Amino acid sequence: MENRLGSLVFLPPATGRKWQGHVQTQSPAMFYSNPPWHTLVPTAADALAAAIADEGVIVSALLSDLSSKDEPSHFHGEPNAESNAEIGAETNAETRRRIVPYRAERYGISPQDFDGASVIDFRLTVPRDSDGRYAYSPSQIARWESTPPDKPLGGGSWIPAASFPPDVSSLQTLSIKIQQLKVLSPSAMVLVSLFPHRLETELPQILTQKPDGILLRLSDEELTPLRIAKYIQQARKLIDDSAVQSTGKSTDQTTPLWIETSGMTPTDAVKLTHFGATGVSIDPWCNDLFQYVSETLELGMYHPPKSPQMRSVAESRIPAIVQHMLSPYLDEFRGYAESLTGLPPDARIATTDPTWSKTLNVPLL
Amino acid sequence: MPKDPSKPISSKPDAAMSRSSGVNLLATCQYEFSMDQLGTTELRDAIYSVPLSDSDEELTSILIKSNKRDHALMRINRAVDIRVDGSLGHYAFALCSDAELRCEGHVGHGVAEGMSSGTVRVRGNAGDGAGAAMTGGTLAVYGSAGDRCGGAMRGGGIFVRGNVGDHCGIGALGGLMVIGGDAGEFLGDAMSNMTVFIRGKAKSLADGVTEAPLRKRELLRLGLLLLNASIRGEAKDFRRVVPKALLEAEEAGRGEVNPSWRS
Repeated sequence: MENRLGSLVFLPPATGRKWQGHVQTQSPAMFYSNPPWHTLVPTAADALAAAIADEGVIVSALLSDLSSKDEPSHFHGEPNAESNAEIGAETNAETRRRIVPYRAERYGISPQDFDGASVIDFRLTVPRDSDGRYAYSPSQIARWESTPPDKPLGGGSWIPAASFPPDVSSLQTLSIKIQQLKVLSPSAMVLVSLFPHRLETELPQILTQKPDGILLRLSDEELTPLRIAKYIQQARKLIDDSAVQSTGKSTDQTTPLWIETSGMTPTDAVKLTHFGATGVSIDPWCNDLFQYVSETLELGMYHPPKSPQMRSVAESRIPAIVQHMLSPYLDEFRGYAESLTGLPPDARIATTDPTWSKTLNVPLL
Repeated sequence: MPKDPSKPISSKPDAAMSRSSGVNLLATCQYEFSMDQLGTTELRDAIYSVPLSDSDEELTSILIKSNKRDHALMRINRAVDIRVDGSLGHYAFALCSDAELRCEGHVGHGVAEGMSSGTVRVRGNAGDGAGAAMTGGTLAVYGSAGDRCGGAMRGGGIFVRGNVGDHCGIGALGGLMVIGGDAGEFLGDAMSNMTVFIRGKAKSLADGVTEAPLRKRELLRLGLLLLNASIRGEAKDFRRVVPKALLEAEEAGRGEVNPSWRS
């Protein structure tokens, strides 16, 4: 993986700047936005989700992504006796932070998904399948709906993805849905996720509906790194302006702006936080990990383990594999993010490219 | 304040037996609560404090008086029979299971959204997305329902005595919908294994779906369903709307042998 934001450089502290000790700040959130859980056997997906979450990453997963009829999800935690009855019930896995991917169609979702969740990712975005359709693959549907292989829902073909929730009348009444999600999961933050292409018209409308934050999906590979940075800058301004408008004054509290990107290195991700992102997806750093678990550990749906014993042995290796393959990325992200704290915002990043300087209003070296 | 849950209230006739919905409003409710005096959490707590019935044939019955429409009563997962005397707001009875739930008034958008078992009956009208993303159970609306009724359903059944709006059954993967009146535009848009029975007219059918004659066993099945849902009329008055590919598979005689009809 190469740096896509190589035109931007980290500025070291100015020579002669007084020595400052450790500055305590909250580092940006790291989250795993779109894991292909359906490519692994459920137990392996569950073990992998738990191992990644144990590294301090907020992981997006439905109960149906990580469990089957016979195998419950340990990542979601054993529901306590009353969890089925109680709205916002805690689970035994509250130390692991979890995102509920709340898609417009809600395929695969169950009421238990709301228990103990940290974030509800309310998706107003339409996903593409591997062929570029706005659709879900048969294997995704099979995982979510747990149908036997000989009786697939949807006739065993791809299923069109919805563009908007069927129970919401329009963007102007989205707050009703957001309110429902807050009632169902009182401790969770409700983020509305959208694509950036019509940011100037869509984001202000969404902000009037009072979500807890915004998740900007910037993983379209046709977006240039400069365009991505600009979108984040624009989104941050729109969010902050909206907060000022609704409260009548500026506030120190930053409304969360999380971003999902593709092909970004840890240093790229840190540079993007400079433009206003408060959370970054780690999806690109997990590609090799998934491939390793699927192919080398033979825990993939297409190369399933030959016996329960072999599966169990392979799954026991997952935490160590995650630590070996993912931790370097996370440490690098945390390290660079921490290096920016304590520096004035205008003395953190510069560029060697006049176009970048002009577009993003950053100092030109 | 609610009545002491440990003390059942006396028999209290409310209204005459409803001939239209078949709901016996003269029936005694064992417990009574008022939405005007209880917040959402308190009301749920009150419902959960009621002891369950030992009988397999009769559930513990609860009457809830409602003059406010901002309550939803979501995620009731308890084998109780609840009757709401009044209307409810958006997402009424969403994500419920196991319970028998009735609302004597109207409901907002998303009634019974994501319900997985049990029964929800609404005497009045429902807003958009009624029964959206249901996975099981039965939703009966005795008035009319708005747009995208049954959207993204994965199972269960929806009965609407009156009319439904546009895009009904959109993206449904499974389940059954019975429409006693008319439907709006694009009925059955992008639906998969769902079957729609309609008595009136649809403004338009979506691409990829078609009307088909009822088969004998569907006549029988629909007749029973209508009887259970207290919807007047005979099964032969209805027509079936299904995905074209499913019909072709049926006609080729493989639909039920090989349900992978789209591959």
